[in-house]
Amino acid sequence: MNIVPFAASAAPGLSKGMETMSEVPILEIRHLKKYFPIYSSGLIFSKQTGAVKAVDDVSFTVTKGETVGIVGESGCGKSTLGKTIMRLTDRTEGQVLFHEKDIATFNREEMQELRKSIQMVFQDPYASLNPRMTIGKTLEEPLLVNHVGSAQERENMVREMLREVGLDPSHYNSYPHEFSGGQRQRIAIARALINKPEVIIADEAVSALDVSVQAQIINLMKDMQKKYHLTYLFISHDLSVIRYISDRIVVMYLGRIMEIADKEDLFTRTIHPYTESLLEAAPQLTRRRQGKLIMNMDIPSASNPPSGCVFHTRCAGARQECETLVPELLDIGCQHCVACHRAKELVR
Amino acid sequence: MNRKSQSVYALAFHRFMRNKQAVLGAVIILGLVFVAVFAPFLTHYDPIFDQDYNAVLASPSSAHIFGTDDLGRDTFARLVYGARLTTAAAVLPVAFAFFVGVPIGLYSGYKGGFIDQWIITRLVDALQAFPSLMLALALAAVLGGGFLNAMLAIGIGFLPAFIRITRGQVIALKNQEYILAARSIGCSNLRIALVHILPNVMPTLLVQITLAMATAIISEAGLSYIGVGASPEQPSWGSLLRTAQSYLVTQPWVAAFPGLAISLVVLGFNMMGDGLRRALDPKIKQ
Amino acid sequence: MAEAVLKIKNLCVDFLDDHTIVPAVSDLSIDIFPGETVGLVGESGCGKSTTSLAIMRLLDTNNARISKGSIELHGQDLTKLSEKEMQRIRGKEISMIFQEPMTSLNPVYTIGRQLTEGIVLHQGVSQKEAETIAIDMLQKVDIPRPEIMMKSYPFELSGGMRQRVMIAIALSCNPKILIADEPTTALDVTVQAQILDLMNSLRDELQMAVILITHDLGVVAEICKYVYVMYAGQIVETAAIDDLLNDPLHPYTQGLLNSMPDRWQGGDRLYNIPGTVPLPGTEIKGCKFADRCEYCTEKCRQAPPPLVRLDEHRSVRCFRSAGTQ
Repeated sequence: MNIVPFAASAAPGLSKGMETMSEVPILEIRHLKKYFPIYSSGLIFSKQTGAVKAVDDVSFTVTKGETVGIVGESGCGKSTLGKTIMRLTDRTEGQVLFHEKDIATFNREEMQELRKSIQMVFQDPYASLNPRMTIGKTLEEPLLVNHVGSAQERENMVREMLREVGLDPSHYNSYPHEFSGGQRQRIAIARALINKPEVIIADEAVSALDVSVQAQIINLMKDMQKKYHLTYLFISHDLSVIRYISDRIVVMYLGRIMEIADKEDLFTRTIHPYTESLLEAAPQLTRRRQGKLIMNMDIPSASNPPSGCVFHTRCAGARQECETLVPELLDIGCQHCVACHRAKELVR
Repeated sequence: MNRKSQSVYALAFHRFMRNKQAVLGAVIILGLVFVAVFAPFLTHYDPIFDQDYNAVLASPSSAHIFGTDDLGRDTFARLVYGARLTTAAAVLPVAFAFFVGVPIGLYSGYKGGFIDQWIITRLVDALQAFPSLMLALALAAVLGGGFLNAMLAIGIGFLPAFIRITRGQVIALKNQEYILAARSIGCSNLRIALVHILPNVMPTLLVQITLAMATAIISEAGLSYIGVGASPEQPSWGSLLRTAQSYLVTQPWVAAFPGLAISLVVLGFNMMGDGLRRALDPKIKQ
Repeated sequence: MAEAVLKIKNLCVDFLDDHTIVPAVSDLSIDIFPGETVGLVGESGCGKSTTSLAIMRLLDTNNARISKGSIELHGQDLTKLSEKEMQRIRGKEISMIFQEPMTSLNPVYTIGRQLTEGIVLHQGVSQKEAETIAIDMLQKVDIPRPEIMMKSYPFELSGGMRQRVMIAIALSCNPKILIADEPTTALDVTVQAQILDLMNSLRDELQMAVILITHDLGVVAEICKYVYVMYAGQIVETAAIDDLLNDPLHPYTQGLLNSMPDRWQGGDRLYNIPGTVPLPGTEIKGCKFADRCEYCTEKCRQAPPPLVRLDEHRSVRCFRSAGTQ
């Protein structure tokens, strides 16, 4: 079953005025698991003694043109999720469907197409650009490996793209070390956009930037989304950023989804105790936190996650069943899904 | 922002040029190359056939400024022509180790897994367990003596270092975000290794190359000295020393000049290598 | 009001870069009182960390120096002390914690050893006594089972636990001043909240003065009483935290607050301050913020605005806001 040949739908301009299309999922993640084996070395051969469950049974869909925010603390598996979706690392189990086709089954050619359609912007603008390549070369690279245009055409496209992300095209021959963090992130965004992708996975793309620069980059990303009808998967630990940019939010904890909901719904009708403590803990300008935090323990290690509900060790309302039974992700209405045994009680 | 863009190498060059020691090292090495290339113009003696039986083991004089050896050959001429062998001794083994070792290191580091951990790493370990002189002697025994075989032996001795350094750097680099970024735009593995990783490993390798050249010269001299390198009539600096060995007490100048030449050139390579290391160190930025 | 423990007066710090002198901090004055937390806020490169290193006299003497001003601890000018005298002050009178709890503990020694080292050094007690004090300290920072923790190595602990240990080490000699340089930036929000709570309660308990250096106004709002906003090496505004959040006076402070997604009032885009921070060493005749300021006038470009004191806790470095235009 190959339904939409995505090469054909790769022209984002087409989807303009096709708002009815927006219900078609562009990405569908089904029971995705990614385990990293832990080895301990024996005398001759090392043997696997366990696994870090970085992503554990994660399912959600992303529709065209929306921004899905993925939020969680370090070790919750949000970055691994992004890399697994891009097939930068192979999944352990489950499926990632891109235009309803499993990317794990892609052959070389299809992979090459996928690498054009899904792009990534990384966290550290200092580490994500090759220090020994000029900006021109860095931006030309995606075109080059996909055999786009002649040398002259490519150069023009690169200069055009530089202008578009708010940089002077005369920077063509500059090296990354000549730029500030914000400018580098613009370059990284330009590199992601130059092949006209459909989906951008932004992995903590603004976390390393100063507030004022962060605002510039977020605005740029919003502008680009409008212009190119992009779908964003926005991964961040910062709730305020996620809240601003996302349409829908996925809350992850220790490799699992705790809660998914539309943005407004999540903030006005917070259900999962973890989401609640996350909101509680985030420093805010408008109100001062009262008293001590409910949650007072370190995050357990992902190599040895708690049984049952992974959050039960830090949850104030944990019950007997939470320690043994893994809660399912239940839809409590309005596509608001919660993985908590007490979800039904908490809805009220 | 209208500064001229400078590549990392251009910046490094500026830093290198400010380092007096490094520049002195580079001058010594350029001197060696100059002498090697223009040897016939620097002396009118032939290093092998011009034997002056009236002046055997002569001390330095106006006719023979560095004196003569036991066959009456002009030491200066032999040193000057020896610069050619010395240059070859510096370049050949290192080139061999570079062109064989770096691809292996790139492959091993980038691919990882069984071949990397169980075959290449173990082979490197095994190779490194031999003292390099022993290795060279053993190879000379198998392949026979002679200059080229000695070069090969020294080159094989350098392999582990080049494989290790490349592999280590690649492992550190391959998880950098810009390598991930390159993968995410669809670059092939070969392209990533050659276009994205290798240029970042080169600075470290460059330093290794200069330092290995210094070692190569000493090793060649050593091998020639014990007689498995250049043949005795060839004017290698090592064989000059070998000849001089018997006259160390009576005619010390026979040994002094080749010895000095070797020390000077090795010092030059080391100073330049050290300068390169400082200049290319990413931690010192402008 | 109590006497200030630390008085920084007109502090100037220069960076020396290949024979050129680049001012990093200029004309900075701060008074710090016991039992108070003051925040030093600004974006990267504004000189906030340089200030903290200057107070500790930990600047790299090869490329930085205090060129003017004084730092008085109980009337003693720290800038005039020798390195040896400074060593008696560091850890005992003034302590510091850093951003990276992963790298600021030595991986080869146990927590106990690293904790007792300073105690033995500064308090002249025996190893046994130091251990008792150390265990007591670990209890104070809410570390469960401190006896076991004493024998642990840093790599066995999580980031939050390490930061607690760092705080325990910093506070083990009852310093009068704690300088916290981005203490929670590397931590997760839930852990950050715990550490901020801890710092708050320890400050009250021990009556120390805390200088919190951070880029995060949210963190400042959480624990600080007074805030100093820095821009390009200068203090541009000082205020009590509530005043600053409700009524920022300096255009930079306003821009900074408005850029935060928390403050987003709807609409299509986030507010952002145009342009970038001037490169250090750029010659600027007038106000350093003039190029990015929407209220900039000719006067702002002609002369640098002075830091004008509006009331006891409020100053601003802007002609317009200070009403001296």
